[in-house]
Amino acid sequence: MSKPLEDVFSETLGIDRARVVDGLEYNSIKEWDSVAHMALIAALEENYDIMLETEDVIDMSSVGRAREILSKYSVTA
Amino acid sequence: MAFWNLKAEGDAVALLADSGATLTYAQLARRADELAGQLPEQPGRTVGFLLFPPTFDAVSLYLGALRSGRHVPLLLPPGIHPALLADLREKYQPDWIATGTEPVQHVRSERAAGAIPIPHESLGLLLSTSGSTGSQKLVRLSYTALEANAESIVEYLRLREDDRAITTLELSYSFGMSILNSHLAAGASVVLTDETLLSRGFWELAQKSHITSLSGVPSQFAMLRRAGLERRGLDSLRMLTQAGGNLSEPLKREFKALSERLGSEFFVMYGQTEAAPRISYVPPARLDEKLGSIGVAVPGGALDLDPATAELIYRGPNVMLGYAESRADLERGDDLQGVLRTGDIGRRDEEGFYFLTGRLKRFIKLSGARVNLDDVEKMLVDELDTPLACVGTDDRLTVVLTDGASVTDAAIREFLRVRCDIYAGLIAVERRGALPFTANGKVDYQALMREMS
Repeated sequence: MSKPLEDVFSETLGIDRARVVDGLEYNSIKEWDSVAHMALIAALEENYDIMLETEDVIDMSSVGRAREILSKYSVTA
Repeated sequence: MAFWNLKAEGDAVALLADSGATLTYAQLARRADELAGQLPEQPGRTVGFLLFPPTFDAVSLYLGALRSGRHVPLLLPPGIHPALLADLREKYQPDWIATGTEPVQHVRSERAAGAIPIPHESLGLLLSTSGSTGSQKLVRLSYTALEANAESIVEYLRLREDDRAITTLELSYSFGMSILNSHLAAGASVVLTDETLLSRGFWELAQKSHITSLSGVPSQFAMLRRAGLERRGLDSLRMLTQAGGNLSEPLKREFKALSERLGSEFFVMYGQTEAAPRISYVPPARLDEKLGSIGVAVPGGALDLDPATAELIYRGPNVMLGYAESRADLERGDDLQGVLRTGDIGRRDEEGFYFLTGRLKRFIKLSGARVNLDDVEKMLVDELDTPLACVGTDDRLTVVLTDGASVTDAAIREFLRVRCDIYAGLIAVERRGALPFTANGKVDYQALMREMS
């Protein structure tokens, strides 16, 4: 059973769950820098048991975009 | 000829921005002198802070300060923590603070003669040695060291006027700064951007600007792989350069092969901020057979080993004057006389290639920033009042707690983020029955590392 998307973001970035909203953008807060983005990609892949395509990795520019991208992989995020 | 003289053909492009705007060498020289005009007018040498974003004006101000021959900047990241900045202001009493976006702030309107130590005449630039752990020790670099290192990088990378780099590192970080310096020394150009290796915007800009080189610290090579470097359409790429810590051998092999497929060269390099920063490199043609090596000294320098301790010693014109821990230290001249004890333990093979085998002190590099494990451990113990140990490898700090500790993983991460600027992606927290100790009662770090690997 996978965790909700918000939990993966909140745990990996070390931020409050309340801050994980669709409008939150990559590289807009210190906690979500490129190093954290790598950890996030790995955590999402593990949580949903998928492998993200390189194109999707560099398009994952916000929480909302992550949700859209994950839907392509037939997972419920 | 020093890179800040900007002597390339006047209409050659020096800088490019995200927006597509460009600045020629002639325009850059003009803007540099114009902005240096905002620095204190009263005669004499000054010290200032430059919070250094990747913008035309910030680069212009940096060069303007060097061109003035009397304004000495300390380069700092634009997102520096306010508490850390306050600490630095207290310690180094800057005469001015600049961001490259707002007018230069004059901190001291008049200077009482003799009251404030004046920087030594050979001092050109100040850099910070690490992120925000431990003491705020600065590296004092001379004009000569900056010029010499830029020239020697141009020589071994064989940089040309048609080369073009792109910012992938903070310009206040010695590796990032050296990419800018060496490209200007070669009459080449640099694309300035805030975008990162994991955003589409970065790759579109890199492709459109026809960059010829990409540079990174080890964590960024993992990113290049995830971002699919080979599929990013960089048809002008001629080199990849890596420094800022040890890149794993599998990744070195992978990028060596990938570089060959892309028709480019892969340079594995070693340096320290204390050497402005480049010390050695592996000639790309030798990389396969010297995979674990830091290579040979850069042109103009020499490497050696301390006969007693096997500490790696570097000699060259790019070695810093010395450290500074206060404003008064800026008055000091050349303490090191061109000899740098690196703190790394090494060996040399029969062909004169050097290999690192350990460190005299417990340092790791996190995203290229040097972190003293003993400092971090002490900060955590002071704060949490529980037995713990910090160990790690480049790009992974592991905090080991005992099972009885009530502190949560989240609290450790929060503390490291707020106080040390170290982010969750670089931290692991482990718990175990008890910490191992050596016979003389010290934490047995080697045993911990063995058990973890």
